[in-house]
Parts: sequence; C-alpha cells; structure tokens
Amino acid sequence: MLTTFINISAQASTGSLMLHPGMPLYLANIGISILLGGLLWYARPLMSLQPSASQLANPLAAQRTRISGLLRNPAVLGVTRVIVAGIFLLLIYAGLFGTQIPEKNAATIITWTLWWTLVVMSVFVVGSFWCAVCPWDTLASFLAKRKLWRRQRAPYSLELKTPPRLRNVTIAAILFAGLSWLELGYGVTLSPYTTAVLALIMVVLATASMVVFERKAFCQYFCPVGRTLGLYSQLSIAAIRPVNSDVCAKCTTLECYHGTDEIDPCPTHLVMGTLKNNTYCISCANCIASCPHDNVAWASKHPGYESVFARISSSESFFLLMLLSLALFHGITMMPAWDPWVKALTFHLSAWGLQTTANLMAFSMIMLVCIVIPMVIFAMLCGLSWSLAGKPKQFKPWLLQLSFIALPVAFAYHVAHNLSHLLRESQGLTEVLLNPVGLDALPLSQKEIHLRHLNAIINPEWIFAFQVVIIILGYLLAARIARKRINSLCAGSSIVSSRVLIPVMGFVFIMSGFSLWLLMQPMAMRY
Amino acid sequence: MNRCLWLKKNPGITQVVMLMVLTLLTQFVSAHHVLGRPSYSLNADSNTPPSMQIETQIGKYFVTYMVFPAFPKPNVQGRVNLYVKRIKDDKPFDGEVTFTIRDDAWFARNEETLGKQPSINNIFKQGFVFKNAGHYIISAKFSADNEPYTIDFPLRIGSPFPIGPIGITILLIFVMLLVVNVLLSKKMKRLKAQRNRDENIEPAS
Repeated sequence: MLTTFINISAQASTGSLMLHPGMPLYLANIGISILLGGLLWYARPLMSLQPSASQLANPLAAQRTRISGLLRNPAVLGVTRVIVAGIFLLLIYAGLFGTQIPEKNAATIITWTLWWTLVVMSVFVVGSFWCAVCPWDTLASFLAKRKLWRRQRAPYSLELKTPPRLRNVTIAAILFAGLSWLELGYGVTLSPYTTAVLALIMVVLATASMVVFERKAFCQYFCPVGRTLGLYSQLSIAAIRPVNSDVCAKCTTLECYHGTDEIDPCPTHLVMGTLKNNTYCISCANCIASCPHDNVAWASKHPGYESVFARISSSESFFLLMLLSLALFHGITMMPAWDPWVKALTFHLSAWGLQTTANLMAFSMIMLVCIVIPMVIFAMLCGLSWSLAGKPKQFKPWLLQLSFIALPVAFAYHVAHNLSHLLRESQGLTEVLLNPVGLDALPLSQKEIHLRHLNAIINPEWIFAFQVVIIILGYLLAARIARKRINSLCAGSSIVSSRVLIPVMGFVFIMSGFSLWLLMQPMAMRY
Repeated sequence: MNRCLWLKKNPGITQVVMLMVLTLLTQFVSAHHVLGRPSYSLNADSNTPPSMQIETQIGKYFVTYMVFPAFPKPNVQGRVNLYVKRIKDDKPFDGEVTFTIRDDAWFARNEETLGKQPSINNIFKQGFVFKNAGHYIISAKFSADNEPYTIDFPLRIGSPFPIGPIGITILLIFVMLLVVNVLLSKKMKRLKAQRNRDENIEPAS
C-alpha cells in the first residue's frame, strides 16, 4: 500500500504539480484503530458519565498571570498593535511594489505561510489574542477615532446600533467562503499583488463598519477571520475571565461593559460576570484595564468546557459546519486528483460555450458541493438520532446543539493541515525576511521547490505523527462533546442516549476518518 | 408530486445535477483539456533569459511551455516555446499547434488566434507583442490520434499598476469619513438649534 502512494507521488511529480508524499499507512492505521476504539468506548451506556459536580462547576478557576498585570496598561497592547500594523503596511507595500514571484515576496509568504497557519494554531494557546492586535481593526480605529488606545468618542463615526438583522455571523460565514474561494480558486496565495489588494479591501470593510456602527460591529459580526478564531477559541486553554465570580455578581457599575473615562467599553458588548462563551471575546483586555476591582485576568480553562455547555445560534451553527467543510475542502484541493476533476467539469462547461469562465465556474460548483456534503451528512445523521430518541422537542434545537461536535473535528484538521504548510513551505522564510520586497530575487526552479517540500524543517515522520495525534485529540474531544450533548438532550436516560449517540458518533468518525485519509494523500504544495 | 413539479419548473437544477453526475462517471477518451500551473524558472547553466515555465501532462502527451521573457511587458516582443512529447516513447509530436489568446478577465469573451505553427526542431515557437498590460490566457490546441488537445496557460503582461489599489482605498476611506463628517455636523447643528429653541421658550407663568 505504501508503495502505491510513493508511485502515485512519483508519477504525479512528473507533471506540473509539486507533491509531497502522504502520511504512511502504519500511522494512519494507528489513528484509525484509536478512532474505532474511541467509537466503541463512547457508545457504551452513558448513565455513569453524567457530568460530575466538579465538571459542572465553573472550571475557570482563574489563575492570574503576569501578562494580565501587564495588560492593565492599555499602552502595552497599543504599542503592540502599532508594531503589527506597521508590519501589515510593509506587507502591502511588498505586495504592490515588490517582486511578483510568490515564494520570494513577504506579502505571500508572511500572510499565507506564516500568519494564516500560525494564527489558527495559536488559538489553542492564546484564544482570540490575534484579534486584540489585528491591523485591520487598528487602522480602522485610528481612522475613525484618531486615537490608538485611550478612550475617545469617535469623531468620524455615526455610532448607530447594529440592526438586529445583521447581529449574526452569516455575513462572516459568506465572507469566509469568499476568502476560501479567492485563496483556492482564484489563487490569491500565489499572487503578492492580489494578497495586498485583499488586505486593503479588509481595511476598507473594517473602516466602513467602524464609521457607521457603534463599538466594533465588524469584529463582532462581519469579520471572517475574527469569527473563525472566535469559534475556535472555545477550544482554547486560556481566556479572559473573572478571577472571582462573586465580585462580578455584586458589581453594579459594570465598567467591563461601559468602560471608564480612560478605557473603551467592551467592543463586543460582553459583561464579564455573565460571560460563558469565548466566541465573541476579542481579547482586547479593556475589561482587564477597566475593572476597578482588579477582578479580570487571563485564566486557564478546559478546552472542551464551552462546547459542552454553550448555547449556539443558527448562524453560528451554520458557520461551524461551514468551517468543517472548508477545512476539509482545503485538503481536497491539494490532492493530485483535484485538477482532473476540475478539468473534467471545465471541459463540459466549455462545451456549453462558457470557455472564458468555465474554469472558475467548475471550481465554484465543486466547492459548493464540497461545502454542502458534510452539512447534509450531519443533518441526516442528526435526523436519525432525533428519530431514535423519539423526536423530543423540535428538530432545530437538536440540530443546533449537536453542531458543536463539528468544532473540534474542524479545528483538528485545520491545525494538522496548516502544520504541513508551515513546516514544508517556510524554508525560505529567512531569505524573505531579509529581502521582503524580493529585490533582484530570482525564482526557484521546479527542482528546488520539489526539494523544499521533501525536506521539511523537521523530519516528515514527526509531522505525520503530530498530525495523527491532533486528529485523534479532535476526535476524542468531539466524542466527549457529543456524549455530553446527547446526555443533556435525552435528559439522562441511559438506554435512549446510548442508542441515540451512535449516528452522532458516526458523523464524528466519518469526518475524523476522512481527515486522516486526506492526510494520507500526496499533497500539492503552493511554493 | 410537488417535488416533480418543482423539478419541471426548474429544469436548470436537473441539468446541473445531471452534468455533475455525468462528469463524475464519464471517462474522457475523446478530448483533453488542461490548465497548466506556472513556475518561474532560470536555467543557471545557459545564457537564455529568465523564463516562465510550465510542465504538464495531458492525455498521452507531456507538454512543456516556456515564455520568454519571464515577465513580458507591453509593446515588447515575447515568445512562447512549446515542446510536446508522447509519454510512452518520448516521440515528439510532429503536427501543427494553433495558439490562441484571450483576456483572463472574469467575463471577457474575446479570443484571437495568434498563429498556427509547425514543429521546428521539435519546438513550436509563437511570437507575440501585446499593446496593453493585463492578464491573459494562451491556449495551445492540437489534434493527435483523432483526439483534440487544449492546454491553457496563464500569461501576465506588464506590472500591475500599484497606485490603483492604494488610490482607491484612500479615496473610499476619504469619502466615507467625509460623508460621516457631514452627517455628524448636520446632526450637531440640528441638536444645537433644538437646544437653543428649548432655551428660548419661556416657562409658562
């Protein structure tokens, strides 16, 4: 079997695609064995697995960190934001004025290989901290308020309340699908110029939202990256939380929500005392700085806690499932078989007289199918579990609550996939950092690109091992969430819940198994 | 019944589904179409100028396509070299290749024929001069064993105009801030007038 993969890789590498071999079969076998073992384990009667008192209690026993103390001074974060915004502007300059060789320009390498891979991975450790230093918001805030960290009534903002129809993440989900389309279909990742233009478009969108709506509606509802990180940050091991919830319960002034004379209010309308879900916290640390009781700090938390107990809206559920679909879709487009599929459909569309747009249309159609399929499988299996449970309540809340199981699976595949990009494609990083605009840079030959992919920063076996571990952890967490959610939906009935759990666990197994299978395939890399 | 009616009313949906099913099931033996991926490369051991090079497999043939110079500019002579070899025995293709060009804009439809070239020393050479900068697709078409082959290659002429995006961004932000400023000053004036009116009303005795 392993030989077959090597043959595929060798055969494909004679074409235009640059491939690295997929995960060895023995590692995938280990992964599959653990997935199957987990499936059996979680399908057993569940009565004994009721959440314990300690699990139900808020596990966010806040542990103050030195960072929290540092963040009480808003200038610290402000200076960091300025530095990040400076780097961002440099990347725009490099993209517009630098060489258009993608592997030699900082705009493409820093944006797609370094930032986009690391920002997703960083969520597990620091939650949505990226949002706190995001350059789109920094530039938009500066343009609308002319201040970087002190509180200032925005002189260039209408400060309208966000209309109720827009108070959801549907626009962010659409923008995220659009970004993926641009990335994979239009090839933004291979064009420094388009990458820079995309960055400018995001600044314009953030500024438009800032000058029309109050606080940070863009971060809260519209930003595709922010909402992705927000949903993923439910799985992080750290978050901003109250140190002592009793202090918050007695607080009547709510500086975390309203702000103070010096500190801005919470940009996403959160009250620290009632905060149960990390999704909308953008880690701006305003609450840390404004709390008169010094009762807010970065705290450690259990990565699965919020997904077990949090509530979810329809748009968030849709976004979650789309995240899973798009994460897997990224892997599908890197398979050697992807191009023949697109070309086959392109050929048919061309025959219909759509020569000029056939390629993009073919890509878009297959992308749509790839997005829809996991959602349909999810809905069908949830429907089955709902039927097995005797159709309690309505189907919609059942579907919404169970959609949390997609989160760890999506996050695990996203991180595993990005790990490969990071470790295989960042070899020329030092050269790009020293020459960000690629002055007099020469392109790599195909052989050089191929050698880069085969000689990753660390031993490829280690990359595969990390990927298997990540997928397994995602699977186990999803299984735990599924078990708890079903247990809660079935109100603790062990006979019902064990039977009802099977289809839901089936979804987790199918998606995790497919993730592993994708990682086994030889993959085409970008640079 | 209702579903059947819905499908009858929406024949486009049926066609799309049929198309996708057929696409997945059909084996293509009658024609080939491929979009090559670019790789900019330099041959350090030769005196040839930098070129953009694409290698791809299509049907029974292995195709190499090179553009000189690597980053062609408007009104400057450029050249495409195409090498077509049969995979099985490395035998060069000896027919004729037709080169066409079209704008790579999303909804552009104009297509022009650049020329029909015979093989000279196993290379199909096609010269070009573009008046305008932009993104184009060059198609190389040939027929072998009664099967048509089409290979599309991207070609960018000239450097992107860098002031455009920055200018548009600054303009958009400026317009936004201006409009908001005007609206806010009108609001302030209205509030001020209202306050003055309220202050001028004498309390009823």
